Order: sequence, then C-alpha cells, then structure tokens
Amino acid sequence: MKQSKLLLLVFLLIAFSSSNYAQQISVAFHSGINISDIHDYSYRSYYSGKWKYKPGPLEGISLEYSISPVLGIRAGADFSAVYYENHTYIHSYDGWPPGPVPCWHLSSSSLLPDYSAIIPYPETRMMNFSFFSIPVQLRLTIPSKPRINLAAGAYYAFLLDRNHENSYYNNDPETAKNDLGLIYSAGLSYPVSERLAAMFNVRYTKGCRKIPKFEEYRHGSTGFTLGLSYKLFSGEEENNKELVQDSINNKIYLTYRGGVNLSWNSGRPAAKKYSLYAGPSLGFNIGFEMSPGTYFRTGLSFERQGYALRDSSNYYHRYFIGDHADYYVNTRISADYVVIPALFEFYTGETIRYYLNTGAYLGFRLNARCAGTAMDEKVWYGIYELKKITVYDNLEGLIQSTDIGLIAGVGMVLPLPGNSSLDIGLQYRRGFYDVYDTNDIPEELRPEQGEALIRNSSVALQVGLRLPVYK
Amino acid sequence: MKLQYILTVIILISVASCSPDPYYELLESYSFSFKDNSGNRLPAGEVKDIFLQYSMNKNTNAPADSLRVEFEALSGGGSVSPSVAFVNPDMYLAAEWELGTSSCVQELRASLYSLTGRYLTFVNYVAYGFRENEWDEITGDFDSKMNDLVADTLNGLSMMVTNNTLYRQGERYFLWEELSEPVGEWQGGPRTVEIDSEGIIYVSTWEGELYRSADHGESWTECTRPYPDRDDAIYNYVSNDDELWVYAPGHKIKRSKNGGLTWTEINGLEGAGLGDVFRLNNGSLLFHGSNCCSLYISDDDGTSWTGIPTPGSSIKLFVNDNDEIIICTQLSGITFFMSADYGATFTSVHQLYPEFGTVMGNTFNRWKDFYYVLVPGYGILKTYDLVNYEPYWQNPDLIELFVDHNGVLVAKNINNVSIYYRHNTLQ
Repeated sequence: MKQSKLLLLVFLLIAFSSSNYAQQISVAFHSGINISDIHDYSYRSYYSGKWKYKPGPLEGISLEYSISPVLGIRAGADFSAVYYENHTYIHSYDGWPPGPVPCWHLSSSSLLPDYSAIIPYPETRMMNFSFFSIPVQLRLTIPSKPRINLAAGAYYAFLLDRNHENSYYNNDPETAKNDLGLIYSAGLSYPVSERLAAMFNVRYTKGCRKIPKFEEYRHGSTGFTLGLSYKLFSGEEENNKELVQDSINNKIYLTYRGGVNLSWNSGRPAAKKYSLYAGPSLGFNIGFEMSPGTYFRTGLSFERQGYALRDSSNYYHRYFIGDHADYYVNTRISADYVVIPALFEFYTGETIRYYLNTGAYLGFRLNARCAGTAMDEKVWYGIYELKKITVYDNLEGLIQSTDIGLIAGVGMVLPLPGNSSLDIGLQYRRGFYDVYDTNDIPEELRPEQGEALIRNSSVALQVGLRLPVYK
Repeated sequence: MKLQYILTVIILISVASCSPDPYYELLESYSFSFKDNSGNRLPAGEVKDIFLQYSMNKNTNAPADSLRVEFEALSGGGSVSPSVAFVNPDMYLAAEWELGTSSCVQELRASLYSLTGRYLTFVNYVAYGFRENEWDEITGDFDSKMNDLVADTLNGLSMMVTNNTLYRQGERYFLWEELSEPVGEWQGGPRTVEIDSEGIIYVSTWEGELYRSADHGESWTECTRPYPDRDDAIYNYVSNDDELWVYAPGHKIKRSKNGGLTWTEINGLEGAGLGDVFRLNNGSLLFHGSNCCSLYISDDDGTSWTGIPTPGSSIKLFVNDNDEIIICTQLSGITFFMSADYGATFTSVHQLYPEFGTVMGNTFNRWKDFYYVLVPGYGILKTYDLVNYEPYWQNPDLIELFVDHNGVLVAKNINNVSIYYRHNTLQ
C-alpha cells in the first residue's frame, strides 16, 4: 500500500515537473577514488579497533534522463574496489599478556571487557573486494551555477574478486557473491559548453549483505569522482539556455556554507562529565520564499559532532564506573551525520537583513568513532604498571543510525557585489532522544526515563555564500 | 568554489585516516618481592631480617629511580627498623622486623611510593610468632592437615603425619622436618604414626603397609603385612604393653607381639572395630572398639572376651596407672564414668554437652601431672585425677589433641585447615 502511494507520488511529481519541458538524455563518465568506510555493527564494536579509510578505484558510466530541469533518473554501471583494513590493539612489549588484547567479537554478556575471552588476534586484518555495480537513482537538481545534483537510490553489485589477509575468513565460501544496498550522492556540475559539463560528485554507499556471513559488517564507502557529462538528445533550444542572467529566481536562495560545530553530550545524568568537541560543518541550504520575509529553509550538510571525555571511566567512549575505574580517559567521541533541516525563517531589515529560524532536523549517521588516549594504571600485589593506550575504536554499532531534533538559529545576510551575499549565522541544535544503542547494556544499568547516555547538542557558527538560483 | 570543497573534504579524510592506530604502550612497570617466602615461623618477639627487592620491566623507558618504602606492621604488634627507606632497582633493601606478641599471625606491609610521593603498590610478608601460654593458630600450612602425632619424651622426639607425609620435629616445636627417605617411596604415603614405650615407631600407609623404625626414624623396615590381600588403609594401635593391634573392615582384628613380624587373629571382637586396648596391672586386657558400646575384657590374653555393660553408650576408653578405667559415654551429652573395680561398677565423674557428637580419637593426653582431655564439639578439659575436670579451652571446632615431647599441646580443627599450638611454661 505504502509503495503504491509512493509510486503515485513520484509519478505525479514527474508529470508536474515535466510539463513544458522537453526531456533530455545525457551520458556521463566519471572516475575517482572510493574511500572504504565499512559499516561495523558488531556487538562490542567499541573494542574492535580502527577501520582505516583506504582509497580504491572507482570508475563508471551513467545515463541520465532529465524529466524536468530539477528532476531526473540516473542509471549506470560502475567498477569499484574497496579495501578494508582493521588495526587492533597491540602491545609495545613482549611480555604478558601476549598479542593484541581486544577481541573482535566477544561472546560474554558482561558489560565490562571479558579478558578471559581474549584471543590474540593479528594486529592487522584486511578484506579486499572489487565489484561491478549497477546503481539506479532519482536525481534532484538545483539550477544554480554550478548546479547542485542530489540523488538517492539503490545499487546491485556483483562481486568480481575478493581477498582476505590475516583473517579467519580466508577463502570463506560463505562470502556473499553480490550485494544490494543504498546509494546517495551529491555533486556539482558546471557547464563548459552547450552540451558538455564538468562534474564533481560525492557518493555514499551502504550495503545490506553481511561480510563475512558471520560478522556484523556491511559494505560501505564514500566515493569522490570527477567526470564529464554530455547531452545526447535535448528538446527545444530554449530549454538549454537555462542559466541566463535575467532568469534569476528571487524566491529561492542557495547558500553554500561552512563553519565550526561546537558540540557536547547533553545526556543526563552524566552530562557534567563531558566537555566540548569541535568539528566541521559543511553543506548548503536552499530557501523557498513562502511570503515576504518568511522562508522555508532546508538543505544538506555534513556535520561532525560529539563530545570529549576527560575523566576516570571503565570505557573509552562514555563515562561509567563500576566497582572501580579502569582507565583515566582522554578521548574524543564523534559521529558524522548528514543533516537535513526543515526550518521556518523570518527576516527583517533592508540592506543588511537579519533572520531567525527554527524547526526540526533529521540526521543520518554515517559513522562514529572514539579516539584519544587512556591511561591504564594497574596495581596488583607487588606489581605496578602504567600503560598508555592509544584509543581508536569504531562506534558505529553503538550509535543510532538517525537523530531527530530541534534547530534554532539567528543570523544576518550582508550584500556582496553582484548577485551574491554573505550569510553569517549561529545555529543551535539539540536531539530529541538518546542516540546510544543501549541494547548491549544490562537492563538495570540502562538510563532511566528522561535520561540519556548520549544526546546530541551543538552550536554551529557558520559562514555562507548565497548564490542566485535560476528559473 | 568547487576546488575549495574538494580540498576540504580530502583534507578531512586525510586527517581522519592519519589518526594513530590503537596501541598499548607500557610506560612504567615495577615489581616488588621479599627475598624469603612468607610463612616463616619464629618465637614472638624475635627479630627477623627482611629483604625487599625492586625490579623494573626492562622494556620500559621509565627512569630507574629509587623508590620510597614505608614499612608497617599490620598485625601482631611488631615494629620495623627503619620504618622508611629507599630501594634502588635490582637491589635488596634490608630491614629488621621485631615480631610482636599480640597475635601469632604477624603481617608486615611494605608500601611503595615514587620519589614524587605517588603511591605505586604494596607487598605483604607474613610470619608466625609463636608465643608462650597462648593458643597459636596456623591456617593453611603443611601441618594444618595433621593426621597423627607421637611423642617420645625419653629421646626428645616427636613425629607427625600430615598431608601424606611424615615429619620429625625440628629445633623448635613449631618447626618440622620432612622425612623423605625412604618414606617418600612408600606406596600411598604415611597415614598414621604410633609409638611404643621403647620408642619404636610404627607408620601405616594408605595402602595397608606397616613400617617400623627402632632408631627414631633414621631407618625403616617393613612389617609383615597384616592383611596381605588388602591394598587399602588399615587401623593400627599400640597398646600400653607395646603390642600392635590392627583392624580392617571385613577382617578380624589382629595382634602382633613381636613388632609386626607375625600376626594373630583375635576372635570374639567381630563388629567392634578397633579403638583402645590396655593391659591392666592384673594381666587382663581391656578393649574398646571404635564402634559404640564395645567394652570387653579378656582374662586369658585375648583368647576369649567378655562384654562389660556400661551406663550409656560408651565410645572411648582410658586406663590410668592405677588401673582405674575411664569411659566416655553418650549419656546426657558426654558423661565420663570411672570404675575402680575393673568395670564391675561405674561412677559418673563429669558430664558436659558438646555441640555435636562424633568419634573420639586421641582423647586423653598426659603431660606431667595433668591430663588434657579433648571432647569434640566442646573443647579441652584439664584434670589432675580424671575425676575433677575444668574447662581448659572451650572450642567446639577441635577434633584432635596431641602433646609433643616438650609438652606442647597440638590441637587440630575439624575443618582440616587449622592447627593450634600451645606452649605452656606455666602449669
């Protein structure tokens, strides 16, 4: 039922947007790098060490069918390779206990590290895959200069080759021979001639099949490509003259913005144990005039947010002390989100315009990590040891995949020469709920009603450049 | 504009990728130990030299500073000199520990600090300070599982069987030397030790062997096996006329008059087990089995036996030098009866209520003019004449009591984990 409604909606959107528009078909070639970003949902992933971001080739061809200036369908064929490399903890001396300590997957239900279950693992494990994939996406274009292309869809990938090193899954016959996943992309396209356009594209993929079968890992990568697009067929000539100076759409603004996110964990009751984390905030906003002085603002941004922990704790990534604290922790816990805001924005002023906006946001978590150091002081009978632990743990399995919250912001828009303007704003965000997945915590230790282990909060100082959007 | 974004993203990814890998780095690692193992036994108040060693893990880069050591007597009331000192890596720190007298178990703690005052760790050293006229408890040591003990006052010798090993008392009553040759080669290991009035020692093993030593344990000869077809433990006893008595379940009691060379079966005592046998001054043999109500007398050197009725259920027999018979019966708790007419009549002399009832092993122990009588579930009574008893140490957890050749009382806890020594210098 839901699917049929969605199809109907898509059909109506296509039909509406394509009226008075001669459809185009273009072909695009792209080539670039694929940065591996495995999705590790394993239980106790916070002791699994670091998954390195490793580059691999990404090349492909795609066909785009533009139904309207803003809407299109993109399909293609890609060759890509992803190289996953994990580094676990190793000791700096050859004493006891031997080998890397943390386990990739521990079976104990205990909250604390179960050292009885520790198995020496190789310090580095690698899994390499190459794929031939077929992505299909729905594309949305913001007609600016350069144009912004946003697309979302799915892919089906055929495994071409694979290789495991230092892995228990060497020659694992259970490894899936194909993958089905989601693909999101955002890019810029700049016309260099009537039919030819240069493209820069960023894509993010998230597989659905487990790799290997017995682990909680899914394929994932972020690809960066440069390419060229060529219009094969187009309708009336007028439709190709999209970006002319006198066709500026004054009811829509587009802002490319960047800034700094000062974020913290406002989850209670341990909020005082955490301190601020500074991360980047990059993206764009698009505003639609609803009435004079009132806009609806949305967009897409990459936000890295988190918190810092400098205290005694049993964990590197959050404050918890059982009988006694195991470590003195100095870590930064951060998660990358793609944030889509939905804001109502109110303006005042003439030359310099001031605005105030408020609304909600939806954040999609891309990955999460904990990095820093921990001091491990062990006093046994007659023995004193002080260890410094360089921490890097993947926390993707612990942080919820989405975050929803409230946004409130203020700012001002200063006119620049030409059609551009400068947007300086301050934005406050706060999540509605706990983004920490408490499934692996015993019930008696879970936060009570109204409490949260991690609740995202941030203040972002952003500076943006407003560019004209064309009709 | 586009280039700026691309560069920013690439820089971000590069920064994320370049963060250091997980790693453990050992910054400091020290270990401390005393040169001697804990558990030394000394007279209370004596001074013990102690040596503390400090070593560093060779793989750390931490500077090899000296460390401050604070000594503290945690229990026992002793003192250490010096109480604060400094120790260098791979060297011994010497100190003198004067044991206290407030408890037998004495514990010394050495707390280690860096030169900046940061607490590092500690090590403890435990010693036993044996006191006079006090019960000194030793827990979890080799003698805590003592099975048997014999004393030879004429030759100044005591021997003990504990933990399947035979020991001979050393220079001090709390020091014991293991007799490993040839005892260690005996099948099953020692189980009991008995001694006769001539100082001849008999040791039975867990596999039914019996060994004899006439030179205080220097050499041993194996007796004729009383039950050749049996590979399991036997009960053995040396009566006050130096005859050997043995028993094994399913077999008849046997007796040897020649130190275990030959054995004679005893008839008429079937089902009684083997407890105590006394040769009376009139030549009769008085016998009590390990089972209840088995008091017998034989006027023909054990050829035939006549049961003696007792008031209550008798479980223990003792006969003093005057042929006065003492029996312990389970009448109203435990009641001691005395008979001065070879069991024709019994007179109640003492009665008490132990916390539980069980077999009575080595019950009557004499040292000089006094008897120390152990009643399991109650404790120790002291008596001069076996008629008038006074509580000596009420401890219901005691199960066995012995006296060594120095008159030191040695009692054993029912849980098999503790042994108590008491060296009386006052009567």
